[in-house]
Amino acid sequence: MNPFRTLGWALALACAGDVAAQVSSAPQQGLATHTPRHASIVDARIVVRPGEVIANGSLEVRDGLVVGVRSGRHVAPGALVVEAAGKTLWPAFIDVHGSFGIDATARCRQSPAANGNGALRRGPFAGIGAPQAAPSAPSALHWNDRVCPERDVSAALALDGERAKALRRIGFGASNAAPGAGVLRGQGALLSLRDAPTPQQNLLAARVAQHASFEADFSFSGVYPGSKMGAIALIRQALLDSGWQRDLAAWQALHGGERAEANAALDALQPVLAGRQLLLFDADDELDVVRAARIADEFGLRAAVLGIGTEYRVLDQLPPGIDLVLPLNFPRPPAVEDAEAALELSLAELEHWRYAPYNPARVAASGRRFALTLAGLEKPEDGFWPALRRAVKYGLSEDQALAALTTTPAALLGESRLGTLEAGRIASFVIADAGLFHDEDARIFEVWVDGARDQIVAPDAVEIAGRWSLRWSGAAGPAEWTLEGKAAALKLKAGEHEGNGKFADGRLLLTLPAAALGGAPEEKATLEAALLGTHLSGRWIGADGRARPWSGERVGPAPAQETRDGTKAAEDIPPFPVRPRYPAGEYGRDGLPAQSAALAIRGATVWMTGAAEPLAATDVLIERGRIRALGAGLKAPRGAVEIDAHGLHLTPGLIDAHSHIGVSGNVNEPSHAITSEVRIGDVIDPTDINLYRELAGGTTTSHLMHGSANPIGGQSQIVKHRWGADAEGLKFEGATPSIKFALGENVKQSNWGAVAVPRYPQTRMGVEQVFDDAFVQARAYAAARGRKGGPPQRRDLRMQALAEILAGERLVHIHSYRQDEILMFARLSADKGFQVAAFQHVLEGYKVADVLADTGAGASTFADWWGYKMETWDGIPYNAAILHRRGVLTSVNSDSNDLGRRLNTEAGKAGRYGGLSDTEALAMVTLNPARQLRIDARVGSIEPGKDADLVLWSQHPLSSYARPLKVWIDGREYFNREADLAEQQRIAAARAELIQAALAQAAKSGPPDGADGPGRKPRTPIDPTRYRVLDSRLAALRGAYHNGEAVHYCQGEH
Amino acid sequence: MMSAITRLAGRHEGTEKRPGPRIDCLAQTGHSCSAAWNARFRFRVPSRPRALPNLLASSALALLLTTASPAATLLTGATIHPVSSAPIENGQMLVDGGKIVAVGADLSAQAAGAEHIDYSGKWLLPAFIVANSVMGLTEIESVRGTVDFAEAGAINPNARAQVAINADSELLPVARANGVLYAQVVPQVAQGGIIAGQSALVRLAGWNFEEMTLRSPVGMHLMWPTARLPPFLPPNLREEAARGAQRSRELIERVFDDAAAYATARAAGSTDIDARWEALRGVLDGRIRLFIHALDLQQIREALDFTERRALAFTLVGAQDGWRAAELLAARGIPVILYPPSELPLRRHEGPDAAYANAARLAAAGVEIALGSDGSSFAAALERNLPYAAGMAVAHGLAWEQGLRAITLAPARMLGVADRLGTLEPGKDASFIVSDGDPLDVRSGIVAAWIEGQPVDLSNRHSRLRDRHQPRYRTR
Repeated sequence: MNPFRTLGWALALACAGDVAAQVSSAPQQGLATHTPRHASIVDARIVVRPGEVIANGSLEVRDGLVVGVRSGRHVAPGALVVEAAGKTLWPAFIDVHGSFGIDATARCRQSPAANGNGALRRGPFAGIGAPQAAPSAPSALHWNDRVCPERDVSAALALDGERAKALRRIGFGASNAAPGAGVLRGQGALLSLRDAPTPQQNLLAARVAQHASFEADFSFSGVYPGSKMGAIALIRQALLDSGWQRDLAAWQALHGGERAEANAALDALQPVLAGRQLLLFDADDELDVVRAARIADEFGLRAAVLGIGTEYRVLDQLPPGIDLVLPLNFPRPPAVEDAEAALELSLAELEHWRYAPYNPARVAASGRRFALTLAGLEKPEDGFWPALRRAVKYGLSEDQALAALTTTPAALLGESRLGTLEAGRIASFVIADAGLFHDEDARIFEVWVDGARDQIVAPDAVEIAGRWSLRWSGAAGPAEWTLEGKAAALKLKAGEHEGNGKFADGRLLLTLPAAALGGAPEEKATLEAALLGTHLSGRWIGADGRARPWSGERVGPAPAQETRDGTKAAEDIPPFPVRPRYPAGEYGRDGLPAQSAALAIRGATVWMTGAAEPLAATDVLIERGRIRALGAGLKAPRGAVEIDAHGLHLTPGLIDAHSHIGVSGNVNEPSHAITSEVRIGDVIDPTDINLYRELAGGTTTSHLMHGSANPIGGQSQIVKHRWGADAEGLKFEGATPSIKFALGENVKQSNWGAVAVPRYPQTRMGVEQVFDDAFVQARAYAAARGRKGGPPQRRDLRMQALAEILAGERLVHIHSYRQDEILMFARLSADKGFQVAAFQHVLEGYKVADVLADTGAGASTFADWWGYKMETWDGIPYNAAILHRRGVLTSVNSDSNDLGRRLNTEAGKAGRYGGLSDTEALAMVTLNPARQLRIDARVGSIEPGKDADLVLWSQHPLSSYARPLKVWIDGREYFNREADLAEQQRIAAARAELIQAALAQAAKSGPPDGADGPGRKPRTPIDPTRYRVLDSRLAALRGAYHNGEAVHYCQGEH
Repeated sequence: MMSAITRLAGRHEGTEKRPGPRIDCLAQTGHSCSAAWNARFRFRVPSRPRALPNLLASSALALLLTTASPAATLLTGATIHPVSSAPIENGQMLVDGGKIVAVGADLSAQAAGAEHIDYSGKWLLPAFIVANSVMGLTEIESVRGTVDFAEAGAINPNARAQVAINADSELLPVARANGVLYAQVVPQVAQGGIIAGQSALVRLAGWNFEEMTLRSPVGMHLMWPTARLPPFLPPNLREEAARGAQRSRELIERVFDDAAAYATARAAGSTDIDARWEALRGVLDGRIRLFIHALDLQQIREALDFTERRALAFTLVGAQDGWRAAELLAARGIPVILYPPSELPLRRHEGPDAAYANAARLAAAGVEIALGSDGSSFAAALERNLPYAAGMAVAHGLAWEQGLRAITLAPARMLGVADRLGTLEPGKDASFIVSDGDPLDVRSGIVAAWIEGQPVDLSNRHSRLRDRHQPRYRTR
């Protein structure tokens, strides 16, 4: 940076003449104020902007603006002179996601009824997840109470001068008041943190950003969205609707037509769609950061995401162009003194404790633009600087930190008047010791905001702690003493005498034995003094009650303090891993397993599936992830990896046609009867340990489905268990999309208990009608969308998915139990003209096997589950075999994170109960589910050309005693029994080491501020009278890195 | 072959009953669930039953236990696994009067006049015993009128499982078909409950609960409170739960103090009867075995401390963290009834095989283990998987003999019936199974089962439904 260029520009502006003072629109009350607002800060080191420093310069401030910044000492005529020799000026900081000015109780859409107490939705599960107020009074805004983009925070501010002062005094000059409730939450207001006479003068700019989150109501009480995927769908639909309304209005301006809906909520999203306004997401965990970024990417929005502090784990998962807002909530040392409690700490959590302060530096190193925020700090006034300095110690440069607090937030909010100290900018700056960003003892002397000065420490003030020489009146006191410690708790040492006291607001108060001043041994003397520069001037009062003067002069720092300074900087900084693992912590991988150019698995009994018998002692050759050949004595290319598998069994990777693992924020969108717009693919959790546990059991592909809480659920996602990949990397490329439908007790809310707000349908009669009507509407929708010309047609994500079914582009998998409903849907689907890929569960399929066979629908069932509810009372373990024999394409699935680990023995049971051959039984968890999912061209059997998704078993694969020794996906070895045992050892050792470190840290004091827990935000309290502690619904609160608990979604899973 | 089986087959097969007329159910009065579920975060919302099947009408499945003594029977040809001794290939077992008379390689000398049944190529083993179940106390989980395993209130030592066992439950014959012929039927608790009541050991056949019962009470079941909660819950919930657990622990101490005071007063002649303390007297004086259900390490440690302080013997049930306390349990000689190895690991950092290998790790430390289900209604319908649970433990390091023992002799010992069940030895009940292969492997099946010298009808609701519907496809 060329200082002269800036200087010249600054001088040019300085000569441009006076800048007008701020004029208030509010009527003048009382007398006019004309206090001069003109100052020259001189002899300072000035950081004009990150990377641009004037070593000794002057800053002229007039009427709230910087009017000149230049090298050397320049005093503007008539200006107040502020001597700042030895001090540094920085632009004041901007919090892009602040809470100042926000009413914490405000809801997304306020209705009069919701203002009082007791207006929360009733029922025992109200308030699980994020509670919402009672339905609003009628408004012509968005239909959903959580979508209030029209909300303008500047219209209802909660300004607290004390709060502003606290934030100002840690260096902040402006803060975006970010609304905190809702899915599309409304528009933030950028507020000055000055002590302003009117709110209008606090407001720097209204509507600086639109705020969003994936907030949902997990209580199954009918509120939409009731899931994270529902919130995502809601945002996407609202954005589409806003664009459609814009286009429709433009069309109608030319052509007329029926009056379009006037909707201020949708209008309010247009600046976001046009890229004029920032869309700022508030993420619940690091996976949300990626999800938010993908939405922004899809719509081409200018967007940023407020993270939770673990973003360093997912940097390579983010699309370009999405900015981050990072908290400084580094966790406290975990509580490990109780070994039983420490058992509950995952390695991921322990490691985050160690690596969290790296987060800003890692993000900076990745080249991604980011801002820092106070969000997430419990007491920013205490926690901000220690945390920021830790981030700097962990590799964040001062310029990077400054940019993240000044120029980047200004740019994010489209605020060109803030962020630097160039002439013409708003005069908000910090005057502090040069070492502010790394020295724990550095002080902030003044913060100027909008040209208004807030002096925190008198410029010439000295530290109260130190050695002082003293003069006494009326007594022979000590000639010198030493004050040590913090101002709020001072220790005084004067020879053999000791006292204590405190120093606040420039006034020192001390108590010490009167003997030090010639009094009696048992008496005390109290002293007080004002600190004036380096001089103390005060009075002391002995036992006689008489006040006598004394004075002191600081002569130097306390000796003890020097040694303390010398040792306290020694935080042990752990090195950041050269190759970080993903998922973080246990069982994570530092990259995908290698895919060898050629791999030869020799001599195994090979279960091709499809064939009548397994092939004995056969070689399988794999090249670049695909099966190349089978046979005896195959010749492998030079350099091929050779596996001796004699005596072992090789099968295709097992395929689970019905799974609910790896899904964040509720597998059901249980609110509406039709929720075809929600997508499991939006909420894949690649950190779910169940993916690994099932991989260890030989499962390589799973069909992740929405639950069965409603007739038309959400869109499914097929994944391969590529543990270590991100959400996108898990997805089965190119698979035909599918969707979950459901019938029977779950969709008619039979077993929901008191929670349910009755919803249509309540009978199997109504269930049929819901489907019938949905497809009538979908056909009409498809026809309208296909029409050329005319007004722009609304894109309806809900109808779109149904239209795809009618077009044969989306497969239907339908949860069913009883024969009547199976028969009904077989007929309905034929009538509507689409093929059912598979009836799921289909426990009474054996009663209508001929119907299924005739319609070509598949059946995916349990090996032996029955009896857990009325509609499962006729479930029998012979079902799969009867269906198969009648010609129905039949698979056996898990629907469970337990059974998903041993589909082989489930198939073994189904085969044995029904008298199937071993190859027929194995096909039920390999080729048959592959065919049902229409992925059999890629997986499901061992044939040349197919993906090398293979399991090497210790013995007969259907036996109780069979264990996977190795599991390959795409020819990559994703599981290896030996490696797993080694990894268990590594985890144990790594946990022990971190627990030792935490124990050592507990002896010292941890950082003063922090967050609880790994990879998730602190949870808002839930009313314990309204829920049961162990309600399965609470599982929807799980963030990433959970324990993989068994969770039964009785309202709508199996 | 199997003349005795064919002799009885179909004899008691009832007409398949369709669910009776649907009636609107009783008002919902709350939900019950086992402590086990609570701790495993498997909580189900209260059901609002909509239909009640006419269950009690279908009763013709029960085993006929004739009072007349049949002729002696000699079983030949099978590989006999007596559990108490080494397997006998092509062995023979002589049964008479409901008891095992002899087991050996050649019993022809003793078996004069006995009916011969040829089990060549088969395996012959003791009857399986599921050591923890709610079978008989539940039928359909979501139909409240069929669910009877958790009484209201926290302290129910006087509740007796025996008297609520539905002899005609459709679940029982389904379990029998896989060789599970005996069960400890264990009361469970409603949420927050602690003392569930008294269990009974029953054979899964009989006209009524009296005829089914081998022992009652077997034990007093105490569900140790847990404060282990999913870490993602808000802190206020976690704190609330921790306080709740503390209150429960204090309540346990008070209950045992009060029961002791009561016992003292009664011994001194008091005639004031308190049903709860009267029931607990049996525990305090050692007549009724104490079973403590505890899953995680903290629960197990607290249960060990509690019983040591009060000098109580007990059997541990659940013990998902058992392997973490194996040395403690072995040192105290505490027998353990494990939840199935199919449980999930409790923690993310544990190996994917942590639960599978729990049994093997405990056995290796010298702890006596038996297997049960998790005491849920869901599991009651699936008790037929008991032998496969043992197989799973074997796949993960347990010796096969120990796997078999964990569902035969070990539970017989823990439930106080080792003089009658658990091994194939002279003098014991002639309750055994015949399988077409290794019964711990899902690839094998049971071909015959006997209870006290009588062949058991292996048909059940499932086989009947199969037999009713399958012919439809043969004729078309």
